[in-house]
Amino acid sequence: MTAMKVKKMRIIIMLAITVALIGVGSSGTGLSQPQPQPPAAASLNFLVSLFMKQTVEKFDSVFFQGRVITGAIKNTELTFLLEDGQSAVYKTSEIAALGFELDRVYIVLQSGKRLIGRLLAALEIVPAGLGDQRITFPPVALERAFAIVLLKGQLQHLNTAEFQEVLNRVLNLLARHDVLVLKNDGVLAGIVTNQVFQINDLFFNKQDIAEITCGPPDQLRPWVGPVVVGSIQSNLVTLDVIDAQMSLALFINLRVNLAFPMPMMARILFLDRTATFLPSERWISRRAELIP
Amino acid sequence: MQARFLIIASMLAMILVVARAETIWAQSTERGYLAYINAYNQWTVSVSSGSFYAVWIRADDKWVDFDLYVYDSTDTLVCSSTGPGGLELCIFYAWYSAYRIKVVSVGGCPPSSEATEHRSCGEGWYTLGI
Repeated sequence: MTAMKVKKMRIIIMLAITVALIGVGSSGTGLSQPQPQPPAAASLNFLVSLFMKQTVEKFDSVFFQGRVITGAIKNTELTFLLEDGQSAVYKTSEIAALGFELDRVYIVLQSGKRLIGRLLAALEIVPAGLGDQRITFPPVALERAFAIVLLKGQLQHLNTAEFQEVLNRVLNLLARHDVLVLKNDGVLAGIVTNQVFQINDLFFNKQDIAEITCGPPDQLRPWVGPVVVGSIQSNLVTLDVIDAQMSLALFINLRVNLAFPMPMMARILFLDRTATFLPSERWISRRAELIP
Repeated sequence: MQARFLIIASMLAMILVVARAETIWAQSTERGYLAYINAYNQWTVSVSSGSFYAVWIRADDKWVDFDLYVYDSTDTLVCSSTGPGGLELCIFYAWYSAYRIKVVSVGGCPPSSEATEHRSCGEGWYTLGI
């Protein structure tokens, strides 16, 4: 081997080692110091853990357009037109979940059976903590909103793809809307219409608040500045679950504004646009796989 | 002689890069099995930094108690979920491109029945998702 060849080989080998070492370095770290988790991570952890472990065990859930209402579905049975043209009536206690798409609904029964059809009856739900208010969703609204209905205690009956779809809806609540968490573990997401919150003798505009944790003592975490500890003075929290804009978007004549007494609140999480996850194509593709 | 040494060294370095992978990629699900209490599995997950991720486990059996931990590449715990039962979830923001997920069996015994007579406490399969 000539000296020239050896020299060339050395250069190639050194390059290979450099590439390999860069590979080792970049696969693990780009940063040498531990980086703290952003505040949104704690809020998301709280919300997701509560919802998937507690809320779904206690309440029925209706997800639609980045929002959610939890409570009790009042229908004792639901009528469907199945894709084979037959109509079928299922007791609500037989159903685990419903996934709506345009002109059809994917039905998951507790027995494990999966069906496709169309819902023929309106769905009625009483929001958690508001026994005297009933929200009626016409089937067309559920279809246009790509709603998911999950019956209480039924998460265990969902397969992996269905579970991920529900989880995905929960993950995206905070990035799109304000979220109310009630002391009874009920969760509702929409637009908080209170423009100002008072804690002690301090006033905060809604858009300046990241989170309110109800105590006592209450804690208000603004987007900028230290957490304020004390007592929230507001009596009611009002939430637009379906506002005029959404009503128009869904071509339905339905407005839902709910008012909750402050003592019912456990936490209020305000819209956090940083709490975004990767795009959700995978959910759609997995959903498509489910359809025979 | 020196060239041979360098060739071997470079091959070792390449092997090191490849051998790091018992890696899973974000947006996937995996199956795991824990055989007894205190048994654990570890997974390395590759992610795109700059986004939030949700990691979850769902045990196949209702009685097991599995816990979930996520560590960053400085070995700092970034989130954990340790409640009772076999469903655990945690959310983290990815500053790095690789994270270590640890799933630990911490208990849970099967109800006595014919179907479960050969099952041990803390033993079972689970699905891991990220």
